[in-house]
Amino acid sequence: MYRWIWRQLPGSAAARTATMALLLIAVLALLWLVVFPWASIHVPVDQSGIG
Amino acid sequence: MRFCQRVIGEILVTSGVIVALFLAYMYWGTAMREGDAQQRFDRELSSRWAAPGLSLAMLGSPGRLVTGRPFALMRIPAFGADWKFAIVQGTGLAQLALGPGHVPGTQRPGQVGNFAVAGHRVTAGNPFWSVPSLRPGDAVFIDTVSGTYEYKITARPVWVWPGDSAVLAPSPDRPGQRPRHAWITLITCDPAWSGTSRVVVTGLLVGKTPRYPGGGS
Repeated sequence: MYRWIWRQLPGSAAARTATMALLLIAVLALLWLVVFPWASIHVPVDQSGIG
Repeated sequence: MRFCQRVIGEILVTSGVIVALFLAYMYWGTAMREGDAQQRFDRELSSRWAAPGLSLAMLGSPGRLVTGRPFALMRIPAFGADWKFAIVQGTGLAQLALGPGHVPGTQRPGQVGNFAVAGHRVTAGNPFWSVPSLRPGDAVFIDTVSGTYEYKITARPVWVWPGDSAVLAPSPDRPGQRPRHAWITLITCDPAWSGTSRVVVTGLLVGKTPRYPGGGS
């Protein structure tokens, strides 16, 4: 999977590494800022309500 | 075959990392977001409660409670001198992510009946982490627009099932009867990180200090 993404990227090895790093940061930001906040109030990990 | 094994392995490892990150978010991320919300609420309540904008009517009735909005501050000295949280209206996960929440349908601070507040044991800054360690005689202060209500814990914590709404009754000591006292009920989950059961601590109103003597009820 990661090898496939690597092959799709243009440019030299250094350019590919930089693009991979950017992709990684973008995915992490999406998870931390959008996906996790949404999931945290829909996944009942710690339930404190009653009735 | 080798190709499939590698892709499946990569997907499994990636999923594991995402789950680990999500747990880190539940612990630190939710605390950061709740901390931001609490700071905002603290500023908002201080400016709302500052004298110039207040009419006597507002001091008497704290207005409509809006889901997800703060209306009171809770202080419990037994948890430390700095322990303070703004209470929001509502106990859905979206509200508890902002701070302890007032159970809709229960009374307001100071009223005869039952003022019930639920809070996360863990996540969102762990506001009610220490609630099971409260003991009879511990004080709980609730600041509202009209003043400060002092409650004293009257009994050791009790463990109930999540569906046991009798603890929310206006007279939790005698469910079904007309309330005669002003109670406070604090609710959180136990064990931590679960929804298995609830810990409930109750107390009685013992005093009130008006924000502005002569104003309000």
